[in-house]
Amino acid sequence: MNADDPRDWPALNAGKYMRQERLQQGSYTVALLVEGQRAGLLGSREVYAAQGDLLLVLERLIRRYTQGESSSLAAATAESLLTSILYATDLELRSAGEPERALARLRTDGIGAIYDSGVERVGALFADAKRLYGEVKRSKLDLPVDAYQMTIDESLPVFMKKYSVIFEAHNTMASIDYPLAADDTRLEGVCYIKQYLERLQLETRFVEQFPREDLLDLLADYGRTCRFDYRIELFNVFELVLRNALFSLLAGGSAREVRISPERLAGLKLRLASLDAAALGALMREAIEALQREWAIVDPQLLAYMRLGEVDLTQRLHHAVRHDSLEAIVITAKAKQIQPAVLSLNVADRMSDAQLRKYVAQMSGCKTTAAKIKLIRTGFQSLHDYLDMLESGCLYGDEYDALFAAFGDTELAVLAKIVLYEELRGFPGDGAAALRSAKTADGQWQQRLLDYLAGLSGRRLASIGDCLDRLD
Amino acid sequence: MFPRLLNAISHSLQEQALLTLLACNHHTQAYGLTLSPDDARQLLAAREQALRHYGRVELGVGAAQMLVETFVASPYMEADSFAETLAELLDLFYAVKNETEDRIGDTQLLDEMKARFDGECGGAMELLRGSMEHYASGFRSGLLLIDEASEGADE
Repeated sequence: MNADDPRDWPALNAGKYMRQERLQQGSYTVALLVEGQRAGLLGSREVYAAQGDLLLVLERLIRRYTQGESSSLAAATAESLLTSILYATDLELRSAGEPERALARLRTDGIGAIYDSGVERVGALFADAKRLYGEVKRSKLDLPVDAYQMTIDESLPVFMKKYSVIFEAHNTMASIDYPLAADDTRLEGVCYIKQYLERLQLETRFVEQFPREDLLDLLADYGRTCRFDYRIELFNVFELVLRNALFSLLAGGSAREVRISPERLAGLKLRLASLDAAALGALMREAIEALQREWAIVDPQLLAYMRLGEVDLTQRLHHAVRHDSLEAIVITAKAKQIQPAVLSLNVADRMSDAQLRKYVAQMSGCKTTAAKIKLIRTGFQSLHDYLDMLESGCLYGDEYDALFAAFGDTELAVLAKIVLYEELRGFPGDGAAALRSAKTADGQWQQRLLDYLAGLSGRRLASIGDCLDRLD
Repeated sequence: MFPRLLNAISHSLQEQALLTLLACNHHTQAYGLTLSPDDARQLLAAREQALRHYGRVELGVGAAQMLVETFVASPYMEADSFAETLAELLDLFYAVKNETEDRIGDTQLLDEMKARFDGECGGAMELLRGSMEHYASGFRSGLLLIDEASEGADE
């Protein structure tokens, strides 16, 4: 009998089949044993022997884990070791193809050998993931999106350093913040990370083809549309870029453009207004094909990946057309943002800790408020330094008002944006209203700022609110 | 799946475990101490209860066997209460394994227990409990320092 040939399987020939849906939940190895027995493809003695083999592997692993120094261990640890074993056997058995073929391997090779092959497979995947990570790191986009940068620079290295092929194969280890456009979160361990890296690489290959300046402008426009600081928010850059490139095409432009003028959006609205869901779906399909032609994309993986979000995007488009809210998903070009005249937002302009300490010490030696404010205005340029100084609590009473009085509208708007970051979302396009409604804040300088702003004239507050609306 | 598997192995090893503990008598008889089959069964029952109580897993009865072999030489072991004392010591052993986060080997822990039992505690189980609690607390503080140093080195 040839165990690899399904025609030689007596049970199968006798019409005994496993139900696919019962193999989807939990461990594949365990599901195969349970379903194989139910379908009459495995006898109870075979199942019992397989369980015994599994325990022998577990015993071997416990001994290795405790380095022979302990005969017992916490149940949670033992369970984790067993999960790690099953991760390897599941991977190996899934590689066999059809469940009947996997079951044949269980009978002929036994759990022990399947586990050993599974561990080799996990090790090979880990090696692939490391190579992929190197490539992703080398081609990292130079964009100020914290979650993207930190995931590549900090989170993924944690996985590469801590992942254990033997003891914690199932553990994904790292906390991955940057969301993919399409993510299969059912995966675990190295399979998840490898998939994550493959998809991140596909996304990068697409996004990196656009000019960096265009991408930065799109990000700024996106932040302004959503009224958040895109640098610290969790969103997917690929999705944003792909979406705007598609809408650029639909608006009569090129797929190489990601910035869409408000005038073109108006034209797009007119074009889409009368279309139903089916027509919008067809239009979206055509747009994806046109984009792929224009960019000459031939990588089948990237082509398939782009299609993953098609249904969702079509639904969102349909919803936006119906509710006349296309500007929520089509990011249009906005006027350049204003930059504060006095405060530098560049981290590189930040003074050293020693310099900051020196200034704070000098400030405490100032005899008058005026002298203190003069020292601050001449010594501090960076917003980060201002925040450090304010947080250090070296100002007292009226000194806060004196400092705020020395600021122009833009500087006050910058500080107000920090204090009222969450509240501003509730007042789209009306910073002055946000300023008027804000009464309390956590922290001393934050509350002092709100109190100071509350004492300003309506005209001044409107002017600061206007700056707030135009701030990047 | 996990509890089912362990229960299966636990039952299949029951007879083997009993024989292993009774075989310890070859060694303990020299000290005038023996485990009857009933004593051994009681010790196994106490072991299972302790493992369950402390959320631990053990394949085989290695710890109980080592415990018998270590403590049989204690001058405070008495024939009348041999099995009962062993059961209490085994319970304490698993408790301290948890308290020391599995970072201390069986041999080292049993030697520590034996030294304290024979020394400062004068064979009193209550005193040994307090003493081992103190020991575990000190061990954990040491671990904390080691972990912090290791994290510092990583950064």
